[in-house]
Amino acid sequence: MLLSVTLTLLEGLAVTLELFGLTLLFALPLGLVISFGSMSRCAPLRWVVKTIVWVVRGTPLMLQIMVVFFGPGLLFGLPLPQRFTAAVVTFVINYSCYFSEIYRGGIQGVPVGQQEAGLVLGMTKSQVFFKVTLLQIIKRIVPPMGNEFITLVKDTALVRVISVYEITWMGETYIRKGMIWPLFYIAVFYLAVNGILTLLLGWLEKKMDYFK
Amino acid sequence: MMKKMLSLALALLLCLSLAACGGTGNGTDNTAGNNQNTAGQNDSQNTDASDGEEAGESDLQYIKDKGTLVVGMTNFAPMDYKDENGEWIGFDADMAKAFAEYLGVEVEFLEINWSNKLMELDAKGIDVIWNGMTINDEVKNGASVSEPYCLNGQVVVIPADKAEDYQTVESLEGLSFAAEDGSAGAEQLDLLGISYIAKTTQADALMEVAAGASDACVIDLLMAGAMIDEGTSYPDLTYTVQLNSEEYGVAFRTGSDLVDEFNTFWKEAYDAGTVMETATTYGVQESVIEK
Amino acid sequence: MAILDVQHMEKHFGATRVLEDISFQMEQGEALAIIGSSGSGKTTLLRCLNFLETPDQGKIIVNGETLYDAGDPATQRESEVRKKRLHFGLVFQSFNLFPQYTALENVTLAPRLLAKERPDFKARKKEILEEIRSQGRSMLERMGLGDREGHYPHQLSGGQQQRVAIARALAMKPDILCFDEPTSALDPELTGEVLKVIRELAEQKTTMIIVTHEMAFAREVADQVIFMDQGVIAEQGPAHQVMDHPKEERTRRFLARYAEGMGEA
Repeated sequence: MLLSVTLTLLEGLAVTLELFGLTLLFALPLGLVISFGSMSRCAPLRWVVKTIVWVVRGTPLMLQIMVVFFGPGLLFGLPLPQRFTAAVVTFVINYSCYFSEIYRGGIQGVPVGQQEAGLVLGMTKSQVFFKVTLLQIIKRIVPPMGNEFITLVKDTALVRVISVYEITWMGETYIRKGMIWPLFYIAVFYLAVNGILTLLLGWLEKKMDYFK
Repeated sequence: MMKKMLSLALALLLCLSLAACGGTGNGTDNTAGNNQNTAGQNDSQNTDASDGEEAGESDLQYIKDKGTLVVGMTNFAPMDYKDENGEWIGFDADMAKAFAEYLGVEVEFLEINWSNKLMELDAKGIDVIWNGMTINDEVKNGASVSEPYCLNGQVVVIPADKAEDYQTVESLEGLSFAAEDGSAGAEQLDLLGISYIAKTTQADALMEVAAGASDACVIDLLMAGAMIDEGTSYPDLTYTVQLNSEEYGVAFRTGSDLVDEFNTFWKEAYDAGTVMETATTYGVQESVIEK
Repeated sequence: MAILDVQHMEKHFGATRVLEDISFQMEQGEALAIIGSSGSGKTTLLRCLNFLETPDQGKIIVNGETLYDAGDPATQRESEVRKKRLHFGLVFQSFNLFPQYTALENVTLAPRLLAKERPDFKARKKEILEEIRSQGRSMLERMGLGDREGHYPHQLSGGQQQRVAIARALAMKPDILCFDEPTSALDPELTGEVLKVIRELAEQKTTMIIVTHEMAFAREVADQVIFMDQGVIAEQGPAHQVMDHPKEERTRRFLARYAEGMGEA
């Protein structure tokens, strides 16, 4: 029994991890683009980007998932997107907004003197970014990013509202069969994933401990 | 371009959140996407976006062109559940397979989030809700429903050792209740003026009682019969008062021509004996409505 | 010919006029000290020379070459600013060392990046990098930091960090080395080691502009002194003359405040 439940839950875990991985893959770069937008010198662009970030961060992720999935069909009679695709799209939009704020904090947290020191030494702006500020930004953003990664793992459970069968859905189906323990058993899987993440992030932080 | 799309999505999000907020909290739910109806006027006609387009277009033709009938359901024994091979079976599942065959299309079962069933239907995420669904005002307003095919009732589930004291409706006062949000059971509790904890599924409501978090819950008689009492998953629970009697139906998109198609199919299948045969397989023959 | 000729430089931030009609000249091997109270425009002047700020008016001429002319947009092209910057070096008040690099890497980073643009870099890569490395080492040794090349900035004292910063600026072989209050961020007991290094540079006839609050040091090291007040050059001349026999009343008052030990740090 334990084995068959474990196998079923692992199926769900694969979906969870796929969603997690794809979200990171797209949201990490998109977040950087959004953060540049929110720091842009062009005021209208900055305003639009900041409004988007405000709305995305200010509304429940679950609602966003439902809008992206059901919206096209309900409002325009368009064919529905693939459930999993809708989940990925929503998560990418949502998380890139969160990431953009972290990037912004990281970029603005590097003293302006670092950039000036590089420029005065005759470096180009891109040399200054890649050789001087980038690593300092990364060092600053790793801890808050780590928090977001861990939240993301748990947030994936929300996609069951549009019937994407991730691990929590799989756990819940057992309740309908009168088995309660699998629902609690899924915590073990979440803990394992987040345990690995915590170790990785800790290792990364330690790697950058050599400078302050 | 991307930005336009984004802002559009966000605008939708706000509209929908308003609609969703307007819809909960009373027994006269509208489907989401329709926030023009004022709560309380549940007899007014639904003005869903889907209505307009369906006037000129046959749902039957749409299914046939697509080649699949997507059946929205949950894991709800004995109506819909999976056998050892992961194949969907049950009274409803087997009949749905037969209906698809009758239409000449493939059947596809899709487990849905039950509280979103009408939204799934309208948005064409599914083509039919067929899952031991009680016919109530909510589904009548949000969908076109077939003729009833099964009898059911809402019953009070309570730990077996306390059952003796709670055999009448009057005795229920003072108990803490759980029920599936938006279900027929919840509606009965609303009518009685009893407050309850809203859960996502009937099974969750059962679990509340099993765990001692609530004193009692209200679920379908059919489900209670299958899931509680001695020899089942919840041997310490039993059911007492039946609050009402009601009927199961199959829901299609509002105005769909599949409703007539279904009623004809069912009559034929009943006359041919298929319905009773299937019902007997899953032990629900007592509940099937005579045609 | 003067190595540096600044003509009629002006700079405003919005409505505030920070620099007004700044003109001065420097000869090769000279040390120029700029003194004045906070907010008098000293730092802005240095930042303009290093192209961290763009002057609204005036010219900057180095060795006869017009690096910047507010009236000639051709001299303001972004692409050329980078090369022009190399005529000047700047040592910041707050060091601004790169925290993720060792002392030696801080010194050699910019020369390494610049060397990549040399046409013979690919052919002589190893040789060139080795040369930059050994130059960086000798630069640190000149600063008395030969045994600290592998240390990261946070492992060094403030005085050591500032000396690394000086080595870093010198490694680019600038025509004119600028210091922006190089000891202001240091604990008093650490200023000595930095001043000693700057004094040695002056003895070796390094062309330098030093913005400083250390009056005694300015008098001892500088050949020329400029006293700035509210964005203008109030007085300029040979160090001993400006410091010991100021002609202007406001210079006298400023110096008197310092003598009483009441000047700002």
